[in-house]
Amino acid sequence: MVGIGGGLVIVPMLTLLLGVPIQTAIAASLIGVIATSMTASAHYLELGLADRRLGLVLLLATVAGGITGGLTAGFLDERVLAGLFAVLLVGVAMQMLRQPKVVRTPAGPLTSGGLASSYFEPTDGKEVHYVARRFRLGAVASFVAGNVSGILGVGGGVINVPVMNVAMGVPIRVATTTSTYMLGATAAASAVLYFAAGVLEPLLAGPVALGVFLGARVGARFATRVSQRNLQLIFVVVAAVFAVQMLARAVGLT
Amino acid sequence: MSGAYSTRMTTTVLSLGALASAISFVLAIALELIAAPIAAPIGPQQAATVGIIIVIATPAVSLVATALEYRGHKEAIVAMAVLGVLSLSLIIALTR
Repeated sequence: MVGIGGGLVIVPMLTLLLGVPIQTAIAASLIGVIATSMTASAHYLELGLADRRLGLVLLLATVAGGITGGLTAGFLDERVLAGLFAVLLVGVAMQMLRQPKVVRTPAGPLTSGGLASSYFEPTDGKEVHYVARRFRLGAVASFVAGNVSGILGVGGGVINVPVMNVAMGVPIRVATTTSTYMLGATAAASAVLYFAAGVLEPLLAGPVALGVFLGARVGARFATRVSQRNLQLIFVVVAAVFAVQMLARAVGLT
Repeated sequence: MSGAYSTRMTTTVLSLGALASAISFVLAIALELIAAPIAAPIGPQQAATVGIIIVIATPAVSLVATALEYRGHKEAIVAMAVLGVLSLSLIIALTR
């Protein structure tokens, strides 16, 4: 509903409310992230809203990042992971509060360099042309996003979307849908490693994925009744509570 | 968006993957909730594991579908390259 993926809520809920070890929660969350991507990106591809060509190019970097993230997480202490998660929650909450300007229709010539494409904006039916540029920057950011996804199980959308939109000149609608398309393969790269390491609990991750399948549908209906701003403010409050609890865990208070 | 290229094969793979894994997870929960032991061919753990494997494998299979849809174009090579990088994680997982 707020466009950040469920991992930011799933991991703290499993860890703080159900007492699940954080690595097991991260692994379950990755399954939820893939489930989100599977359901949503099939819909976005049918509508022609996800830029598959751009997504494929950036996937090379995010999948590589997902592998290194999945490997790195195995060496990190639970407290470090909790601390990193708290920092991420605070960062995303601040990003939502600030509401940075988004580039809806990037300006510039449509001929030189970059990956030119177009889509039909659902709100007005007009065709929007754009050129994705700065692929080196996009690839570096995608690698970092893959790492964050692999280490914390939250998907890389919190990094990918602003970079694609602001730095690469991709319209926000295409940036969010393309990021969702990319999440599946990115999370799968890390999930394999968690599965092999024995920290992925099928009987925990299964219900999480089922919840995501159902939640995505319910959320899509509910989102039309509540303003995006109110939803973001609700998330900010929830994120703040989770961040404090994660931080307390990181410093050994709980 | 995707030009003249069809996305039907990829979207079918993603939708079937979601459906098959959801069925596995529902079966796992149902088996878990049944208190009395029954002569089921698989237990809840196995059913959930099948679902997890389907979820993890679906993005890889969808990349193969994408490569087929872009057959003869450079995007097919990029899709296979992504699949190659993704395969690395499986190799690492199996050899660690």
